Amino acid sequence: MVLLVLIHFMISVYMHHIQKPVFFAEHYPFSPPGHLEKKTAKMKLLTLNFLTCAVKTCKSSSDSFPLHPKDAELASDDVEVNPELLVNLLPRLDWKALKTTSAELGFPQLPDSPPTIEQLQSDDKLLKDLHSLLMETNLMEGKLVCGVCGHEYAVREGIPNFLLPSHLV
Amino acid sequence: MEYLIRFSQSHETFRLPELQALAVLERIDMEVVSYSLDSPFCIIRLPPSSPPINTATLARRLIRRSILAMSIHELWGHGPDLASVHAAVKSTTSSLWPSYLSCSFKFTLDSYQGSRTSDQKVSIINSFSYLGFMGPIKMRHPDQEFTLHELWPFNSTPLGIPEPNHLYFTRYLGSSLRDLPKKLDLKKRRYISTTSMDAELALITANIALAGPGKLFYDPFCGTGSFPIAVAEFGAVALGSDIDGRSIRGDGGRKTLRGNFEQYGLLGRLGGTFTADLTNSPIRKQELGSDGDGVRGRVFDGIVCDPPYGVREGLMVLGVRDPEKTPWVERKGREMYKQADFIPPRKPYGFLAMLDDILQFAAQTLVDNGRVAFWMPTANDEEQEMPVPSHPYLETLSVSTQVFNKWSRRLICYRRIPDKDVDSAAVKAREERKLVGKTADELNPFRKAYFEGFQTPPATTGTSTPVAPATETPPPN
Repeated sequence: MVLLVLIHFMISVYMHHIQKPVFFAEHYPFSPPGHLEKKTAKMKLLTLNFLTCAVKTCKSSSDSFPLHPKDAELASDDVEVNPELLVNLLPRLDWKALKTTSAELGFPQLPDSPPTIEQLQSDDKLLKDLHSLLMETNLMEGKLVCGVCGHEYAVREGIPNFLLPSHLV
Repeated sequence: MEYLIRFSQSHETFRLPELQALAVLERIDMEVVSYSLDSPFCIIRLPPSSPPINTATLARRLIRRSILAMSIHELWGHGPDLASVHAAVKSTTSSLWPSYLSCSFKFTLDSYQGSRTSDQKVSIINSFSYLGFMGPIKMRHPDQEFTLHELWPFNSTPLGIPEPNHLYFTRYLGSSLRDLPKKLDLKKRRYISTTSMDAELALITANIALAGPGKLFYDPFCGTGSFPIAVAEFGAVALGSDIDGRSIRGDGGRKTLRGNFEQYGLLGRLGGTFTADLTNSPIRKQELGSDGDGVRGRVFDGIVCDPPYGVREGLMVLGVRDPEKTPWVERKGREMYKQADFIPPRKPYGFLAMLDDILQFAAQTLVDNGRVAFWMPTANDEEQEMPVPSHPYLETLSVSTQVFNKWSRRLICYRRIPDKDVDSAAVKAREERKLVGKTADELNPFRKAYFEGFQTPPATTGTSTPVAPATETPPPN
């Protein structure tokens, strides 16, 4: 009898152990209040220019890009200026989307058309401004909203979550 | 002039792809004169000096960020025995000797798979006295270093073989980044997981994919960030995503992907990380065949990744495995997906389908001549070997293999070809095929073979192989 109780106890301890909600860990608020100081991750605004809605049916519509930040918390940090990167990426940036994002986050208005590579190379202030916007500004918390389907992608601790429920896959 | 590259005798099949990638990266027109997987010595030819850059500088540049090469040397002469080396040195380099008459120098012997006694070494070195160098001999930091490399047969010491097979006499020019893997060593990294990629192989992957300053790289299966760190180490800005956000988050403090970047002082090159599934990727893509200028719309210079093989790390994508059998999963999802703690359901996915998706994604997001390099496992047994996947918009550049006991993994590198060079017949053939399967084993022939111990299928199956190219037909039983 004692043995049975003991075995039962051991099994229950074991079951309890393996039933730890590991699959839910990502969304468990296991960080204490004030977790923002921990800076788990950061997402540079540069990255936002490459992200659109993950829902396949939204991809064909131009309104799904860029995603619109909502309740955004930003953080800035010091990064060494990398002119080579900016010159390389300039033709790949969607300038219109960058202008929208920058306006929505309350930054000074960008010109309507992108600078040419020569302008960027010769204008130190322009280079610094663009660097500061793309490389030094980080999205920390908030939501990214699709302009077509309205789906809200949560951003937590600098990591946006683009996983979709099965009815949207 | 010819140059000798002294390789490390490890990861042999990765050495030439890495060297060729570095030649592309440094824009050096290199010709490989002699190379063998069994020898650490490789002879290359470089274009003649064109001022202001002389060929020795090109040679130093070629291997300055190599991981598998150790050093590069000016080749003064080589031959099957010492006498022929002397003859070659005397006949071709006598015009070079006066330049080194007064500088400090040292002589070394580099014997591969063999050894010499001290007396033999001294007498061999003295046999070069005709060079007539008058400068001081300095064993530390000499101006010039001359080396006699010896290639001995395997096991020559126990077999008592008296002489090496081949000898090379060289002048040292420059070294590589052979020590860099120690800096990124997994044993000293703050945060790793079971499937973190070895630092040396991650750096080689970054080299083969041409990671470099000013470039943008992406890893869609970043995990704890082995590849983003490797490409950032070479100067590229890295983006990473993973279907499991926990691997990016870590413990939320020091042990995170970002913490790893911090450890190596690379924070400025971490573009961002996000949770996403490659089959429903939020990265903006360009439909194939629709862009003209070759750059706009496609954003990455390179993609490097080690996708899950489905053995240690499950191969899952978003979706429900059997929507008809479990309709409530989707129904509940519709009701609850807006809640903060909602976890979207995932289903097993085919390994070959995943590789195919990576190639399709790479074709849609890489700039012209951008590279994608990924790892895939395969059985060593020829019957069960998995074919190298292909894509009409990508040219296969190299396949390198790391062999384990019964299986191997391969690093495959492709180049995005400009739209105008794409074969339209291959594009059409690609659109017409279909992939099938539902369970993990049906979807992943490698996983099935792995857990069955890589047994050769019985001979009665005739000529059919368990893995059909490009389609996933579940094997019988």
